[in-house]
Formats: sequence, C-alpha cells, structure tokens
Amino acid sequence: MVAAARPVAFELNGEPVAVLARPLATLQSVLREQLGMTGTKAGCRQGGCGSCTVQVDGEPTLSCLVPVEHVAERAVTTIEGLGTPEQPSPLQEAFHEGFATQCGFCTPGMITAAAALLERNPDPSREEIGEALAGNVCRCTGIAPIVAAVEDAAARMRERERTSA
Amino acid sequence: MVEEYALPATPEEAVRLVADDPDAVVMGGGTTLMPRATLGELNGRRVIGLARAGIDQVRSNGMTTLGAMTPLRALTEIDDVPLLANAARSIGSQPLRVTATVGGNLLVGAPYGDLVPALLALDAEIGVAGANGERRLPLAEALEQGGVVAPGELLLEVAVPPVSGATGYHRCARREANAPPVVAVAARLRRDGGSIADARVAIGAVGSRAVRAADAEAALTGSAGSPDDIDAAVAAATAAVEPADDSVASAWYRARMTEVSVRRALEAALGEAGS
Repeated sequence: MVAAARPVAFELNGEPVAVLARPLATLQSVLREQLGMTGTKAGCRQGGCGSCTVQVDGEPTLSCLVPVEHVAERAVTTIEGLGTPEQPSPLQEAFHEGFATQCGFCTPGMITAAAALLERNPDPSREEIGEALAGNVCRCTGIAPIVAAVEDAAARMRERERTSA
Repeated sequence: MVEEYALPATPEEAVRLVADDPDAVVMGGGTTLMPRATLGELNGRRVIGLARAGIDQVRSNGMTTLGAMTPLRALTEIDDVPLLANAARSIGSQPLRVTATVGGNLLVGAPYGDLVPALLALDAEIGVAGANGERRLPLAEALEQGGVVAPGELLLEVAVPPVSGATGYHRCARREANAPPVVAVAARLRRDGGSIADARVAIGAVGSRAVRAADAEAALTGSAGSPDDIDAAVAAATAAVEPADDSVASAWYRARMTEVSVRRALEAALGEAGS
C-alpha cells in the first residue's frame, strides 16, 4: 500500500509555501526535491555532518532529522534566504573573500549555523564560534579560514550597525 | 514501510494512541529514527510522533520536572542543576540539541544515553502512563527491571529532586563534540563534616544500560574522600560495568576510559564540595 501524502504549509525564506509530503519525509528532501532549494545539502542524512543545516524559527536545525510535518506553520530559512549573488549577506561576503569555501559542500550549513550564532551573539569568541560550528564537518579541513570568516563577518556587521546608528 | 505518521496534540491523546496500538513506533525528536526512515529501514506501519503532544516543558515546583520531549537545548539553560546542564552541553552539537530530547536520550539505548548517568546520580523519578493510568517510579528501579517503558506505555516526564551535595560529570568521546560517547559518568557527593555522608556514582553509554555502581558508592560513603578512597571507588566502579564492543570503541578502551572518567567525575565533585 502506498502511504497517503498530506499537505503541510510553512514559511520558507519569508514566503508561504505548501507541499504534499509522504509520512516522515524529511524537511531536507522536501526542500531539495519538491521546492528546488538545493543550497541545503544532503550529506550523511543521519545528523552527523551539518551540511543540511537550516534555521527553524531562527534555531539552527538539521533538516535531515526533521519530518516536514514538524515545521508546519513555522518559519524555515535556508541559505537562499540569507542573501543572493547580487546582495550577499556579510557572512557570504566574508566566506567568499576569505576563501573559506574550498569545495563548498559544507558552506551553506556553516553559514546558516553561523548566521544563527551572530543573530544572538554579535561578537562571539573563537571558542563560541567553534562551539556553534561543532556540528558542521568540513572534509577539506578548511576550518581555520571558516572560523576567521565568521569573525570577519561579525566585525563587518558590527561596523555596519555602528555606521547606520 | 511507514504508512502513517500520527501527531497527537495533547498528552492524553498521545497516551491513548500508544495504549491502543502497542505495535506502533513511538518517535520523540527523531534523531535516531529519522535516518532509519530515510533509508527505508524503519519497520512499522504506523509511527506516533510526540512533537506536538505538549510534553516539552521544564517545570520547577520543588522538583525540576522535565517533559519527555524537552529538547536537550533547554537543559543547557537550567542554572540550578549544573549536572544536567553540563551533561546536556556535552551531547552532540547545538543543532542536534534543538532536536534531541530528554526522553529520547533515556530510551534510545547503546551507544547513546549520555544523560542517563546524570539523571541516576540525581535520584530522578520517571512518570509513565498507559491504559491502566499513570505510575511513577525511581529511574534506577526502572532500569534494573530491564526497561523504562513497557509496550503500550508512554514516558511522560522525568523529575529531579532538589540537588543535595556536589556533583561532577565526565563524558569521554573520540572528539570533544558531535561524537557518540565512549562512556559517561556522573557523581554526586554530600559531605557531612569531614566525611562523605552520601554518594552516587552512575555510569552510562558503556554497556547495554546505565548503572549505579553500588560498590563504589559504598566505598565512598563514610570515607574522607582521600586519594586512597578515590582509588578504591574507581576500582569498584570499573568492576561494575560490562563494556560493549562496537563501532564507537572497543570493550578494552571503554574499560580504560571508564576508570579515567569515574576518577575525573569524582574529582570534579570533590572539587566543587571543597574537599
């Protein structure tokens, strides 16, 4: 017997979306395969690598572990919602300019997790950055430039805050 | 193949659904079941999810009561029970702790369950409900009986009494974060004058279930907590576990790390107590 799909409505990057999802379809698979949001990566698909990290109501969340039903009526932010090639976010700028990307597979998860950190802590220590990114694996071993890029982005954001105040 | 994912909206509805269908798979945060579902390896026609059952709150009313669906993230913010906060903070990563739950960590079994020794050391009680109503029992007793919940029963909450004494926690894993434990140890020591009046030593994530090391507790009780007393307790605690061989660690390594971790947890508790 084929399982019945159910409608699920949530907010994606500020816009309302609705999908039909089979029971226990992951948020990750719905984002990538039904909504075309391929910035969210499918790595280990068991919560170990962090490449699928998105924000749910601002909290960094592993989208491979979350049934899409759990985000009904909640707000999901993916890498596509944080900035665009034309208007990158400070984190995206800092990762790009600091070559904190290498192969790029871990980058969306790193930036999404780091964005959640900078939202609640605009001036994190290296240790706090390390803690926030401990669930995100970079197999290129480019961790040092990634941590430096998060520090750089935090400095850019504080500077923008200061000059706009 | 999973044909239905039910999401009860109240604790009562969740208890009724689970009691009516003891064969259903009960899912908390989903950190261990979702990967199996994704691989098509989750056997069960029906999955009952607890995400909306309203059992995810921390309440303080003398006891600190943790709803079974309390995310580990919420535990890291409990200031008045540092043992729980420390244990929760050592588990997984920040994003994982948003999803992983207290009840899940308690029920998931080896090689996880790194929170369980902390709950044992704190003399936690569990609240379980089924077709015949609710029952409450010490967690240690439930584990000794071989299972926290019976088929058709639901774990609703874990209650921790006010902490008496100083506590220490040590978790050994192959990486500092985002790695399953090799062993996790929690200790609680209450001093009365120059000697230890009451001791708890609990060890988890090392074998098939978490245990209290009764002989180590006995070795410490009435002692001054001297280096010799610690040595005796470490030896007794290490003898109390049956380390597992698995993909995380060999039994030999687990036994060695149990020794080290028991010592560090005891030293942390003694340090806090001001020995």
